[in-house]
Amino acid sequence: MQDIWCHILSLVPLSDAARASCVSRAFLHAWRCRPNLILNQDTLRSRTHVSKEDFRHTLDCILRRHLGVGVKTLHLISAKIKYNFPCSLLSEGIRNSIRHLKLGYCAFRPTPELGPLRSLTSLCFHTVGITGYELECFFSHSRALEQLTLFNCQEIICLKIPCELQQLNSLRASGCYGLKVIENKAPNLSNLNISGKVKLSGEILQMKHLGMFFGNVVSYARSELPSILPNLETLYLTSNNEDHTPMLPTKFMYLKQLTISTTSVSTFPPSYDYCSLVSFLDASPLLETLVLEVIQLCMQHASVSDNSSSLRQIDERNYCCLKSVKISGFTSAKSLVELTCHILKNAKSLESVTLDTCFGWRCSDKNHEWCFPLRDGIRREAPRALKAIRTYIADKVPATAKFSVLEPCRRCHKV
Amino acid sequence: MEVDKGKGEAEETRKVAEADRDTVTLKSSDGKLFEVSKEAAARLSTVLAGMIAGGSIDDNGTDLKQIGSEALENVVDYCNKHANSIPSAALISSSISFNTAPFKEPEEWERKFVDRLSHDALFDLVEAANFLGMERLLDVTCHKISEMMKGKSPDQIREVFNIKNDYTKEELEEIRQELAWAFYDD
Repeated sequence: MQDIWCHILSLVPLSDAARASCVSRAFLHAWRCRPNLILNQDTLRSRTHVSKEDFRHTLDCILRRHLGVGVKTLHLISAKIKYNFPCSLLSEGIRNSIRHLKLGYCAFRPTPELGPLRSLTSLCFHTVGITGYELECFFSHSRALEQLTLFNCQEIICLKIPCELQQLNSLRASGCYGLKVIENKAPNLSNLNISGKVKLSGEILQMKHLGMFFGNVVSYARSELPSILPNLETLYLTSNNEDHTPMLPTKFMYLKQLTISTTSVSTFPPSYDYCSLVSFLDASPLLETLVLEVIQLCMQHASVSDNSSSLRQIDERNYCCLKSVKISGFTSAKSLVELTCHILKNAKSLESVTLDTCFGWRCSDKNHEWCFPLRDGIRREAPRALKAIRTYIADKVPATAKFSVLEPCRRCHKV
Repeated sequence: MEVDKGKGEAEETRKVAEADRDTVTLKSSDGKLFEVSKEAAARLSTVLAGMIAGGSIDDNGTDLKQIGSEALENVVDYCNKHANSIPSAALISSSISFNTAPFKEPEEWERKFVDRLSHDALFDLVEAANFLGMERLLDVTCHKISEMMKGKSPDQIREVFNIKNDYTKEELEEIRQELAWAFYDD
């Protein structure tokens, strides 16, 4: 039963488990063995003790009492308090057992004296004061690392990942605006997510899944990535502004899944020609899934309903692998209608086509009471988009494909 | 010789029939028999999976001397319900390992399943799940108990779970001081 109490007490909130130590020796033992320490202002009930000294003292007490008992998960988020996480708290016991470490809103200055963290597989730094050099030093102690997440760590300029990190397969670095270069030597890093234009160097040919977020990322990806990362299978691009996507002879020989998400604070530039995305389709002979998400407050592209001149015809292609196409934030923008018609005519193996006149979550999704709110501009555009679908698109959907058109929600998106 | 051969064949046939059966019979400490889908038993219990794979399942009822009939009935009930529910991603990924994977919230039917249990039945089921290596059922039952503890003082917890205070007054004071931060709001 002792093991079971340890398990039960690992499921109750931290401070409840600590207080329950007073119940009996078995409960105290369960507290001392608690494998998951999520320490933040809330779990430490620090509304009444917000001073830096108290916070530091409490952390110190908890971590020192948990020596050598198998802490597997440690999250320490010190929002509101300037806190310097001392390396010495990562005692030998904790270093041997810890698997997941997350630090937030603090400074962490690892030194070469820190011993090895043999079981550490996932590491997350959120708004942590740590330099690229210090991180490199930490890597040298964390050979088992599989996942690394850096969020809003502004001191990192160059991220050097050593070849000793043989297990590392996933790296996410977002909001690290100082970051200019990622120099990778980890042989199995295949999953990369970055925001900002970061130079990639070193061993990167093995990269299979890439997510990028910055302005003009679509044209950047089209022009630069085929030569830098020729083995990509999944590509997720998020952009807030695009000029146009260049037509080029280069190819993504292995790309199977492409998601392009454009997020604009007002409108996606009306000068952008959606048809230029044909360049991506032409470059990706194995593409199976295409997702296009147009998130904007209003639509200012030339609408097919205002301009009845005939639709542009693009030369015939054969997108023989393309099985699924989803466009959300679908509008009556003429070039978007043209792109959609072009895809439908040239993808003979399509199994599913979804056109959603809205974007974001729906109230029918789990955990959402209301649909993602849409501005009037988009709600008013929806009927035009639906009409464009009926007039130009519906009859071009291959008979074998499942065709879904998602209208605005009658309850949440009333105009 | 002829007779022996016949016997051997019968034995062989019986074994094949047993291997072909899609249920297994389990026997509680008080001798009651329960049938459970072999597939669900193997998927949900590491111990039963090992017994099935190792051929140590007894056609006349595999003895589970540590588990009473009420708890075993609940175990079997859980397996059958589980077999009928659509496996969600949450359940599939929850089978990674004890205490390492983040806990996945119980599904609606699992919640209902444990909610209807009496106090004693719940604790017996926890022990049965632990004995049979049924990680998901252990998670769901432990989660229920952890919810029963929420917001309760040490005194209330002792009362609800019938736990004896085995501390001296001095020890208790020492612990309260060490964990003073957890009592700030009291």
